[in-house]
Amino acid sequence: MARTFKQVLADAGISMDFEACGRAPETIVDREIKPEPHPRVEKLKNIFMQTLSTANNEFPYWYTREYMAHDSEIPVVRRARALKTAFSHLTPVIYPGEKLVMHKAHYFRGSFPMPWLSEGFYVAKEDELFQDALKRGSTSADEHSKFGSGGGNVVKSFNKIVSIAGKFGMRQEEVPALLKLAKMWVGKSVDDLGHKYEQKCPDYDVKEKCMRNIVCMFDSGYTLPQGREVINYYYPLEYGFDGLIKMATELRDKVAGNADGDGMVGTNRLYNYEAVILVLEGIQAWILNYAKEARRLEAIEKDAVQKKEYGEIAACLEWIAHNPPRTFYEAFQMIETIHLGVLNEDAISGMSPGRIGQVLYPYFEQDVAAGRITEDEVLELCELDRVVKTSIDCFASCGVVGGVLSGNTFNTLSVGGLNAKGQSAANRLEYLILQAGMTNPMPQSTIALLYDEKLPEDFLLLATKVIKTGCGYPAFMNNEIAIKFMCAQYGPEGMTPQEATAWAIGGCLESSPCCWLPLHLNGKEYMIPGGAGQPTSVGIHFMSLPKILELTLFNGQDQRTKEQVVPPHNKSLATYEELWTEFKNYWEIMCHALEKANNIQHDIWRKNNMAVFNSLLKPDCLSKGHLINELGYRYNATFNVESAGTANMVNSLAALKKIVYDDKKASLADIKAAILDNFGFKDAHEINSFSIADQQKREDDDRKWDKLHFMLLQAPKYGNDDPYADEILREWEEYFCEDCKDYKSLYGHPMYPCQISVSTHGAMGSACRATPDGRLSGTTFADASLSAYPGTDRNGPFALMNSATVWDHSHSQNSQLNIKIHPSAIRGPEGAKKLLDLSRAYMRKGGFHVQYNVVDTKMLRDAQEKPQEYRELMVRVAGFTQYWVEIGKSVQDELIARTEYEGI
Amino acid sequence: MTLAYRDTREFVPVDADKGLDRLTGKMVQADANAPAGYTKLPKCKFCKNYQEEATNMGVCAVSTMEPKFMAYGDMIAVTCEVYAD
Ligand code: SF4
Repeated sequence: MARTFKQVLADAGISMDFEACGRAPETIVDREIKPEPHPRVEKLKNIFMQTLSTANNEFPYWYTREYMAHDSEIPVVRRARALKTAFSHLTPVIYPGEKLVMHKAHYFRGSFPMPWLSEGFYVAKEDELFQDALKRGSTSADEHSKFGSGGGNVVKSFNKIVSIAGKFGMRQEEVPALLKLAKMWVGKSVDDLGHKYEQKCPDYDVKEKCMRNIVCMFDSGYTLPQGREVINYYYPLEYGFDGLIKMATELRDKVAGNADGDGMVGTNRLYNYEAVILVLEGIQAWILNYAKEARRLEAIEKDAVQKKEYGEIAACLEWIAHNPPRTFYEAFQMIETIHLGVLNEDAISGMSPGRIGQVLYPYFEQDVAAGRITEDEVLELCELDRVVKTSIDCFASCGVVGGVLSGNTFNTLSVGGLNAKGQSAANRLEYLILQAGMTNPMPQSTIALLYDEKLPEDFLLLATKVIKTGCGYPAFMNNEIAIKFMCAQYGPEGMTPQEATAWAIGGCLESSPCCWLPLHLNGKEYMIPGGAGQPTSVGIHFMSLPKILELTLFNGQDQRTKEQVVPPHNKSLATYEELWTEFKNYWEIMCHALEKANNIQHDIWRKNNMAVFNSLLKPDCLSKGHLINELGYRYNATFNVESAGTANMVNSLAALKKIVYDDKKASLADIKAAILDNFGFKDAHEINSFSIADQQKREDDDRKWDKLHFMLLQAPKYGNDDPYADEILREWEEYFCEDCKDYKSLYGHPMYPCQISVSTHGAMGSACRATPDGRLSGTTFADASLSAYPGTDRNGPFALMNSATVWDHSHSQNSQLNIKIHPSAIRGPEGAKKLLDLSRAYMRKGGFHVQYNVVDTKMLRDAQEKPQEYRELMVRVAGFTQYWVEIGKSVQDELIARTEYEGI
Repeated sequence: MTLAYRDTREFVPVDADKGLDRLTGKMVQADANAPAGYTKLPKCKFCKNYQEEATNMGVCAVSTMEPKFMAYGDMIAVTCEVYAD
């Protein structure tokens, strides 16, 4: 067998160690804590574990039928009518043992396509226009995105189940209907209309080449037009759906025909309120259909306990369809319903519930005090919520769902932070939420802990205990840093420092603007937090920094496809400064091309596909009479620029600076030649492993690149508290944070950096040739934005944290640092304390985010060989947790390769 | 008439391939035959307004659009106000 990368290095006496701070035990060490959920939860979880992601056409059928019948209607009303009809016709399904009910579609993990957003994929499949579609940028990402082969993914068609996009199963009987519905949207979908108009941009060609060559990962304007935001449950909780319809009706009548000084969109308020009423009626019908089903089941059920529960479910739904909730259970059911409702309105990933422990606290406090509910019953509901949230699937193309999201839907829940009075917001319910994350570990909701010095020590220690289960949450997020970012970004829209404290994580780790609103329950007022901003899922997403460096080195030509992506710069790159300048030039050329194209795509979305349900929930749409598309939200400066591959780009620049420009030990021409020859190694695709450690030498390799390769690998690397490399990171970050302000969203606001990789480091690495840091062709980039590249951080976690904090994290929406720790390194209460000290140290240094994978690498290797034995194994990927068996191989390989800390 | 599980009201669909038999609590294949006496689930294919034109595809006769809007036989119709058995 050909020698692997690791062996080649060992032969040369170079330790490219993937273990740091000690040695791991020889045998696999499991995580220390293994708690059990309540029996009811266990049963439902068992169903989940056997469930395949399934899509059907019910929602798109009724939506399309109503939409097509009203082609002369005002767009917002037409959309609302379609939504109302679709919601009203969703078939209810209630599983035995459920307490929190309702599903997106008629299956446990049900979802459905939305051809009004994009229909090309299905039409191309049918008409065998797939080859033609390949020329469209967005399909290129599909080729480089592979789902995990196990779990709930339907990777291949079987029996009467047709696999769609390698992820969803659809009944064969439904496929002709899907194709016919899709064809009705040809030329009308947001994708098609956006594509028609984006071509008018003078630099459209650059944009398409960026997509085709995976310099950029996806068309954010329509693929996931909403999400990575925090939902707001306040208005239905405070007023009930009947109250909201009454309010909208009164406001509609007041503003009808009245511009109120706004000659552009003032009169639109009439139609907007009309749309709000229609959608609310649709939501009510959906809830009442479920209530009817619960009554039907109550009538036929023989088991007395289950019969009583069906009755309670029906009573709860009948009440909340009209009124504000009175109890914790009713409030919990209501927020689940709202959540699923919003997710059914649009293709959304990252609609985060936010700080629900604080939203639901009024009901919890009063019910517990009155003896209406016990803490154990609350814990059970919190565990059930994890089944509900993990069952949520998002239907989008393979490239987006697999390559970007790893099938994850980012229903992140936030705990901690400060309350409206500036005190610790952690409450008793949040302790139970954390506990449920431990007793029922499932990927959703991923938990974000908004770390503040004012949070109680036992709360933080409980959080570290949860981390030790290996579930990958909670992540520590820096409250102080986020508040600074909020004030800077949303201050111009009127955000005060007090309102900034309401922030929460939307998506995996996107700081999102929120606000405080007064909830009244039995005469008592509580200030509760909730989302008040637009999605952060739109903008320039994601830019492959190592690929941009490749283009810079090769005069604008992609070395995988040989396509000229950007105009040649024709510079010799004789100095490091010239290289850096050209890198920035290319970055700017491509960002501007993508900025405009995505603005057009999203502009089409806002004209024809605007959010109505999500809008009415967000302040201040109801009072203003304007929805999301007319700046009804309180905060609109949310669009961003996303990067991937930061550590590889920094390490590559450091290697070039050191070897070529400072020490002059090799020429740029040599390094370019070595890159093209992949340092004598096979391409990662050839051996189907994307981890650097497993790469194999070609049989015909004459070792001519070995010396240069070793030199590049031993050049300064980020993550070691080495100023040589860290200074390059600092310079990049300061430039990046400032440069983003030059790109403006369609709402006229400046963008800002978002530094998460999600799973793009797999797909983007797969499309990138070898890089000057010694990384080999096709291998996965370092995850996140501040994680070290596998095997390169040799000085321990504190050194890594020093490197990560050389720049001011409050200038960015986020930053991301993931660390892999062997379970034996944090055993016992002492281990938990050490983990807390480490996290706290990072927060105090000004780090924004840190999270840990507590897992033995040997277990991951074993799981890759025997996935059937590891159905429940969860890992932290970038900003989220996912089942091992449901993530793609390139990301699995990178997780295995990450440096494992044996001690801290 | 023998019904497939997936065409009965006693079937609780888990995914496209299988579901629970609500009466026995067991996981069953969606395409397996249901025991005799299980209740027919309203679907377009059982509705008098459904006019099939191709396998699994047809039109809904009560559609007010011209031409009549499509329907597909396998769609569940428990929420359709004008389902006619
Ligand atoms: S949509 Fe309703 S009325 Fe039309 S065929 Fe289906 S069940 Fe019958």
